[in-house]
Amino acid sequence: MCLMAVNKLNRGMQLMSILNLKKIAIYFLMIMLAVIFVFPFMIMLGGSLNNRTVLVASPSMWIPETPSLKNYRSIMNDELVLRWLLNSVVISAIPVLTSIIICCAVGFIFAKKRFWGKQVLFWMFMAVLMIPSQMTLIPRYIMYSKFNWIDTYWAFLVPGIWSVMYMFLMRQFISTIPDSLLDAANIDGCGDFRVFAEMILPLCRSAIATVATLSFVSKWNDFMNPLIFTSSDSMYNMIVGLASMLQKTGNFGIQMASAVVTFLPTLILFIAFQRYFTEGIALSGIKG
Amino acid sequence: MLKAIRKNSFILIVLIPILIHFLIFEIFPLGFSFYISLFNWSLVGNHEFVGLRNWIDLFQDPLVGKSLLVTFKFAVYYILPSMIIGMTLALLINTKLKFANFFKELYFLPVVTSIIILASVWKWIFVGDKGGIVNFLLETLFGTKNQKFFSDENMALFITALLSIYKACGSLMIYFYAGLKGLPSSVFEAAKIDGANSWKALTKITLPLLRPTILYIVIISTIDVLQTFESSFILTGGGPNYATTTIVYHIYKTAFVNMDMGYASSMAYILFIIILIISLIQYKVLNKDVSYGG
Amino acid sequence: MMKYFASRHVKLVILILIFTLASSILSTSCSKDQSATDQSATSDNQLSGNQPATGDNSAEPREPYEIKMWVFPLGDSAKQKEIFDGIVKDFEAQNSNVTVNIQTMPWSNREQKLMTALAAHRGPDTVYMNTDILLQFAYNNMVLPLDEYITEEQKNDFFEQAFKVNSYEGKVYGLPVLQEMMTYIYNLDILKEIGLDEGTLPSTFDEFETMLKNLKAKGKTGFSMDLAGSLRVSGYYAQLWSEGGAPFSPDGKVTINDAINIKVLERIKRWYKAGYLPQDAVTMNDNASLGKFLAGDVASHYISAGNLVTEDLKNVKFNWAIGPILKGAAGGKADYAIGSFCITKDSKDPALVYKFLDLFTNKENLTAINKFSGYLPPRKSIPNIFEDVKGYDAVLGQLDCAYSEPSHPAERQVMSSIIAAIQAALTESKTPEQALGDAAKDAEDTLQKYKDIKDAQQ
Repeated sequence: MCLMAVNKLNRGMQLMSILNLKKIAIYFLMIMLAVIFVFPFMIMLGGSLNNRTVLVASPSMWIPETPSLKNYRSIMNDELVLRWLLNSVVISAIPVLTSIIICCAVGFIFAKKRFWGKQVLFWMFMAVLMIPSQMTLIPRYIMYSKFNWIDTYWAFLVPGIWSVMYMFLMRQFISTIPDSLLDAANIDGCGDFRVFAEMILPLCRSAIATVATLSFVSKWNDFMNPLIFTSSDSMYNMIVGLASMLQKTGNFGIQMASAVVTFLPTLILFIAFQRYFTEGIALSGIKG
Repeated sequence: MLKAIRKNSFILIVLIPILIHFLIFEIFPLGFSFYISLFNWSLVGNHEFVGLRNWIDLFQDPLVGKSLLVTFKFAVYYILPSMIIGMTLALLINTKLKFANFFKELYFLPVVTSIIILASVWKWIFVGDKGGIVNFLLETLFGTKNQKFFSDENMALFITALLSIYKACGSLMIYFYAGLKGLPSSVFEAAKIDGANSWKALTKITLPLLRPTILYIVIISTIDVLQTFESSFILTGGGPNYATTTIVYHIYKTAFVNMDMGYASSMAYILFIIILIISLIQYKVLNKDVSYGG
Repeated sequence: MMKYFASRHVKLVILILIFTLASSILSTSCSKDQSATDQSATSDNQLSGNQPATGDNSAEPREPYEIKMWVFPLGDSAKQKEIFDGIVKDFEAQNSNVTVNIQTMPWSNREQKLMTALAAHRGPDTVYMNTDILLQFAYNNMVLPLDEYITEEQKNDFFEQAFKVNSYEGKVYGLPVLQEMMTYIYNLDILKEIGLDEGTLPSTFDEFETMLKNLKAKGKTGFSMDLAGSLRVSGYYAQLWSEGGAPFSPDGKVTINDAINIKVLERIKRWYKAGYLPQDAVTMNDNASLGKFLAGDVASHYISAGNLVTEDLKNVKFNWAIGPILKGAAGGKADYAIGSFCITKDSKDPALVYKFLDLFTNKENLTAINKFSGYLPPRKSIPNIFEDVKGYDAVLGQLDCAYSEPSHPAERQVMSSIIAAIQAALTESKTPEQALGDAAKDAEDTLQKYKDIKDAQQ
């Protein structure tokens, strides 16, 4: 009996040490990967504080010999960085606001209402999800050119009022709302508008937050559309502005400083809204 | 009649403008694109109708073939490694150790960062001279000789794909993680009782059960690859010698640098058809779903 | 998501596509008529030239007008802003109801940006252009001839060369602002290690290659070229011209793969393989080579004289000197470019815009602009403004090597074929002969397309 207990203890301790070893191995792996993942960001930060014009493999790239904000000062003096920030905010925030309301409304309609042609219409909307936006870039460019929208905000605000993808997400979410709730409201005499404004919207708060976050970041990081639909450098968003900085100078320090300045808003958004990214990604199938 | 309109007023008020918007900005460009491809359409001047000339040129143009090949190679370099790394990360954070959540957010950081920002650093890290960081590390750790990276036709595409892998594996991690969480624990317990070790459990149980997730990821990764543009633009300008000219980059250059919009439109149509075919494959394959239970 | 599809909907797809095709045919045939009328309207403008030649419109109160000007960074941007703002203020004070809006654009892709802006009728009234782009736009009828506005004073004071280079089919399209010279700069500290100093810098390409070899023996990289960037800026054309070659023959034929071109490419490949150039040279672009030189990593660079006045060069930690223009079989040639202002076809009041350009290019303003940017003023009456700038006297002594090949409107597109050929040759996926042969074929296709479009427009 005593022996059995000792055996059990031994087995237990062996198991524990194996488990511990496993734990250590996993932590080790996670930390190594984390270092690799963070590496480029460290270079970006370290390089921006540096005076170097090229990047060489030496300790000075981590710990600048004489850290200085010279590069930042030079960028802020020279460039339209604040204007680019404004542009980014405008073409990202406004479509998100309109998107929320419209995608909710249309999602509500497809989730809960019945009408003639609903299937066909829904199918048509879904069909365009397969079409990559690059495919329609050229015709849209020529269209916007004729509308005189090139180099204005309209090329981004008007087409971006809503998006099929987010409408689909809202529809999926709203279908999980029990019909009985809505029937009860109808019996109480609420018309669709009231049902939408006072029931659906509040119930969808978390889905809205997810959609808003994903949609905002996706528009904020957009490169191709702001590249093509603008012609003067005062209309760039931050990303295109960064690209133009990269082409303007071969100086490593200045390039890195520009990258950091462009990255900071993203970082702030990410820290504040972390949850919605990782939750939303799995829901939706969109990548950043 | 009026009563019907009143009853459906919400639907009408919302859907009719939306439908118009949709027709103008989503449907019309499709047909318009085809129309443009029938012309020699540069931005200024008259557009010359050339019928199917652009389409015929398309099939004879070595650059189109090359860019499709480049895109295909990119897919090979990108899809499998990114899935493997994504799966690994998902398994790691699934262990639910302390701080796993912190690591999860860290791995996700490149996903939300614009690729232009990441590319700006990537370009410097993979400098082809001896002094470049990666070259330096490779030499001290493995004693390899100087790699040319972007200046080598074969390597340039691989390094470009590496950037996409780096950026995307955080989001693949999330997909796999969601998939893992959805697996029934009963199966694993049964396997453990039967004496299966972790590796066996992984390959014989987890992966097969994750088949739908894996398939879904393969399809969307492929479609993502077919749209690669920014990295070619910033890292290499499509070179050296078109080795990193993906199909979308080629379309961009043809339309907005060479100003040949008709020809570019025909290329964009081919791309669309390819993506359509891949999406239809997804439809067929996902229909044969595996279901758990029992 | 995909469960919502069914095969019966395929018919609907076809219906929808036909609908959009039909509507696009309808809508574009409407606008096609319009663009046709737009075309004829502008060509009328050019032919009749019914604006007053010069002269004072100050008698009548003028409609409010905003002159839009595009410029590019010519040097320190704060100083540039200061100078340009001063000129704008002067002009606005002299001309009521007129405002001038100067926008500073980035250099990259500027011709595409300009084309797209003009096509969308959002183009500027006037824009700074280098000669080759100017000719491209003149060929496409996107800029106006300036002959009727050029004053006697300008005809006498500007160098004839400057006007000549800006001409297409006998008409002048650009009012010169600066002349850019390229030259060779050397890092004397590195060169000391192989026994060279300021007095013994290489003067021919053969001597240059010997220098590169000796530097390599000491483990130094001798030269850097941005081979993925403009062939004018990287020094490739300079080498080609110095050996008597060119991408096009004077009568417009493609000569990209003739013997001289192959010889030059083989030489550069030789340098690359031997390690005289950085391994990244194949994809270097956007001033990366200049960055390497400033960091002291390479011993020499083909540099624009305008860089001599920049802070970057003043702050380097090594001794440097300007070297002679390297001579090849056909003498020494270095890129010489004229930057000038044109008036675009979008401009609704060319006479007014020219008045502004006149002020912009008068003696004082031109002196100020060139002094800050480091370029040479195109006016004979301006004395040497660079006496106090190190290295500039050497540059001035090289003016006889300044060379500019008459450009072809398709040059920029052809350049990308040549760049691809250079890259292919250096990465050894093709021999220089094959690579240039393919580039020549591409160039011929491009030229043919240009000819087709031009014919269709007649």
